[in-house]
Amino acid sequence: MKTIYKMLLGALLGFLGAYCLLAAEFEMTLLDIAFEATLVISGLTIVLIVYCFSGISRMKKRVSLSVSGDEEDELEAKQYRTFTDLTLANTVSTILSIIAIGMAIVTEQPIWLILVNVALFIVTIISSYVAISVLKLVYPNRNLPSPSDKDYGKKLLAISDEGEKHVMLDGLFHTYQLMNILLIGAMFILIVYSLGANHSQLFSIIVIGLVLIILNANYMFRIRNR
Amino acid sequence: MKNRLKELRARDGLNQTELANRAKVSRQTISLMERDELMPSLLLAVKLSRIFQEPIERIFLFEEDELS
Repeated sequence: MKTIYKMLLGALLGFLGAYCLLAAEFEMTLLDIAFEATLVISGLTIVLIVYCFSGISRMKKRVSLSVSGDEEDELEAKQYRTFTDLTLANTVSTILSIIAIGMAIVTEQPIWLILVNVALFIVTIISSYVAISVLKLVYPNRNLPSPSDKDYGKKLLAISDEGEKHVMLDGLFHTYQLMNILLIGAMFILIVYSLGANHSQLFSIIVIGLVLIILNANYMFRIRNR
Repeated sequence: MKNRLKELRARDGLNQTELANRAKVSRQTISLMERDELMPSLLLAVKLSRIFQEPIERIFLFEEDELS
């Protein structure tokens, strides 16, 4: 019942929002502020990269600490949290750097800005490798796959125990549900934007639609015959 | 289902990391079981039973209606 209320409320808010936007005949263009926006995104990427490397350094320092009893458990939990935090920071920084590269190229920004963001993108890739290498230092007894292994994801899943798989499944299932909702929402936003601003976003709508179909089909085919 | 993992750990003077190392699982798995968020596999239950020298049913306590 709660879900139905939420859906109805969402539909009502969506309808009102879309109606207001269409009525206002808005136009949103990034052309005027593309340079500043790219700089801000680049700045954010740098902050996240710094956070990522500081997390890696903290993890390395903690490896040499000698603790026992409950303190050992707390330290292990802290290492795990730091690793997940820096992994998130790393992923977001990679995405932001790609957005910045795209924005700089499409809006014809100075070449140095494009090169800076390409460099930032490369740094985020390197930092993800470094973070995985640190994980090997933290858990020396575990047979963790090498970050350069082409089947890294598969091997990591294979060595994960039942508790870790349980946590991953829970996280992935919620993410899967959220991804479906957000991508469908994004399609509606793009439809409203296309109508309101007279800028066709049809290509993006089709791409998002295809991504949704492929992801859902992939999930269903994977569980279908098991 | 409830379990006596925390109590038995305290009895044997083990922290979660040490128990995890002995059972060859992650500390996260031990922590999840202690918080009743994960029911272990049969293999892990047997391993824990051997570590604590206790029968499985004295580590993992089921309600009667869960078994019927």
